[in-house]
Amino acid sequence: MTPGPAAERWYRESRIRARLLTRPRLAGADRPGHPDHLSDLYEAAARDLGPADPLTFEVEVEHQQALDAGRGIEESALAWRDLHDRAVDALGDADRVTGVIHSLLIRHERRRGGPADLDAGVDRYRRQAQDRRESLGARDRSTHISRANLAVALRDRGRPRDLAEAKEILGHEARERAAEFGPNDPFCWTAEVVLAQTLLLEAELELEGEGERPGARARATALAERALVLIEPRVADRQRRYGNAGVVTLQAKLVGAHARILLNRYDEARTLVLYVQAVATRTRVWLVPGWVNGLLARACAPTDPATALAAARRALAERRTYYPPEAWQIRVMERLVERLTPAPASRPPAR
Amino acid sequence: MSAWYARAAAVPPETGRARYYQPLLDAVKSNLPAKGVYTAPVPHIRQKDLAETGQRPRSTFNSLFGDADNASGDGRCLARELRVKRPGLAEVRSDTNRVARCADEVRIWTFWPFRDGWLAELDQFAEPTRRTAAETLVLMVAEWARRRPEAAVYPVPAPPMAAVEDLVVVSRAAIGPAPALALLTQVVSLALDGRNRRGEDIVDMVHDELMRLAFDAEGGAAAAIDEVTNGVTTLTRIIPTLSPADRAQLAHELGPTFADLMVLLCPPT
Repeated sequence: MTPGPAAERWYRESRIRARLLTRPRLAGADRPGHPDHLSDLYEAAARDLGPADPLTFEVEVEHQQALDAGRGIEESALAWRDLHDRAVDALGDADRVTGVIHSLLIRHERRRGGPADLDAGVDRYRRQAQDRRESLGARDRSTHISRANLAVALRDRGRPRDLAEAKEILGHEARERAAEFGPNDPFCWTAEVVLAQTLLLEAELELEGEGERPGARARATALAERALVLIEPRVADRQRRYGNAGVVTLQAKLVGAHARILLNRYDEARTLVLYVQAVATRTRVWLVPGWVNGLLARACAPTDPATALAAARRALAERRTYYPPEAWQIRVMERLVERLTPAPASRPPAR
Repeated sequence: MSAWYARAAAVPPETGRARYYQPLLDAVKSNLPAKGVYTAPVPHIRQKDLAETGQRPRSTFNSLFGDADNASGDGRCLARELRVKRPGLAEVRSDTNRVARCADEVRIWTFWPFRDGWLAELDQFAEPTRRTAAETLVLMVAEWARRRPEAAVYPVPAPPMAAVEDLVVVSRAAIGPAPALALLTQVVSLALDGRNRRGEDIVDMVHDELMRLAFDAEGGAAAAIDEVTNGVTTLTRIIPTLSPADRAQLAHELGPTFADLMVLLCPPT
C-alpha cells in the first residue's frame, strides 16, 4: 500500500468492503464454495482491522455461506453456531452483524428438519418478526423478510392451521411489498415465488387425501393453476434481471415445473427440469439437494418409469447425504421412491 | 481522474487540499439527522465555516478551490482538471461555488477506496463481463452513499464524478456522461431515502434502466448477435468431440434457450 489515505483505517476498511461486495458477483462458477474463496480477504481484514472487527465477521459470513454449498446441513449449522457465539462475544448481542449471523443460524438450524428444529424455527422467526416490527417498524425490509421466513417455517412444520397461516402471511407480504416497493421490485417477486410454492404444497396435500375428500383433485388443479399464473411472469422477470443461469431464475423455473406436474403437463415439466439440471451442473450453482431429481422423477413417471425411479433414488441419496436421518425432507423422498418402485406382483405404475 | 487523485493523495493531508475535506464532512455531518432519512436539504455551508476550522487562511481555500489554474502543490481543483482533461464530464456537472467544488472533490476522495477495491477484484478475474462490471460499479456507488451520507448528500445528493467516468468507460461510451450522472444520482438518492435498502436492492431497482442505457440501446442487438454467432461457431467445432452425455446436457440447455428466443421473435398469435 502506498502512504497517504491508502494507509488510513477508513480507507482500508472501505476497500475491503468493496472487495467483499464485488467478488461474489464476479466469481466464476468455480469460485463460490471453494474453500479458499475468501481466505485472502479474511486475512486482509483480520490484519488491517483486527479479528474482532464487524467487517472481519462480515467476511466470515460470506466465507461460511460459500462453504455451505459443499457440506451437510448439520455441519453448516455447527459452523454458524460457532460463528454466532464468537460474534456475540466480540460484538455483543445488539450488533447489526451479530443480527445477520443470528438470522443465518436460525435458517440453518431450522433446515436440519427434525421436529424440534421445525418448532424452534417457527418460534424464533415469530419472535424476530415481532422484535423487528417493534424496533424498525412494520414497513422495514428486515421486518418483511422475517415475516416471509416465518411463513416458510410454518409451511415446512405443517401442523394443522400452519399452512393457512403461512398462506395468509405470504398473501399479505406479496400485496404489501407490491404496494410499498412496486411490483417490479425483486423483493416483491420473492414473496410471490414463495407463495406459489406454498399453493403447490397445499395442492399436494389435497391429492394425498384424494380418496377421502370429494373434490380434492379439482381443488388441487385450481391451486396449481393459480400457482402457475403467479410464477410465470416472475420467471420472465428474474430471467431479465438475473439472467437465464441465475440461481433465483432456476429456482422459479423449478416452481413452474412443479406446477406443471400437478397439472399433468409432464413433458413441459421434464424439459424445464432437464434445463435447470443442465445449467446447474454447468455453472455449479447450489440448489436444495434432491429438488431437481425429485421433480425429474415425477415428470418422467407416467412415460418413463425406469428413469423416474433412478432419478428418485438419486434425489433420496442426495437428501440422505445432506440432511440428518430424522429430517422430513428425507421422508418425502422415501415416499416418492416407494411410490415409483414397481411391486413384485403386477401393479399399475405410480403417477 | 486517477492522475488528479494521485496528486491530491501524494501531499501530506495537513498541507494539501485534503486538509479541507474533513472539516467539510464534519460540517455536513453536524447538520444531518441522527439516522436514516437524508432527503431534507442540508443547510448551506459557508466558506468561512471551513476556512475558520483550524484557523486556516481563507486565501488558501480560495486559491485551492477557485477557478484559476493552480498547477503547483497538489495540483488544480477538480473542476478545472475536468474542464481541461474531460470536457464531456465537466459539461454535465454544476459548479456553483468553491464549497460545492470542494464537496465534489470530497465525493471522489471518500469513494476512492471503494473504486480501488472494485478495480482490484475486476483485475483478478480473467474476463469479467462489462455488464457485471457496470452492476458492481453501481453497487459501489450505492454502498458508498449508504456509508458516507455526509459525502454524498451535500449540497445535493450526487455521485462521485469518478464513478460517472467509470460507468461511461465500462459501457464503451454507450451511455453518455449526462445519463450516467442522472442514473448514479438516482442510485445515491435511493441510498439516502431512509428505507433501509441494501446496496444490492438499489442495484435491482435501477437495473432495467442501467441495461437499457448502457448496453441494450443502439447496437446492443448487433453486439449480442455477434457474441451468439461466435459462441455457435465454437460449439459447432466442439460438439462433435463431446461425449453423448455431455451432448445431451448441452441439448437440454440450448433447446429451451433457443425455443424461448423464438417465442420472443415470433410471438404466438
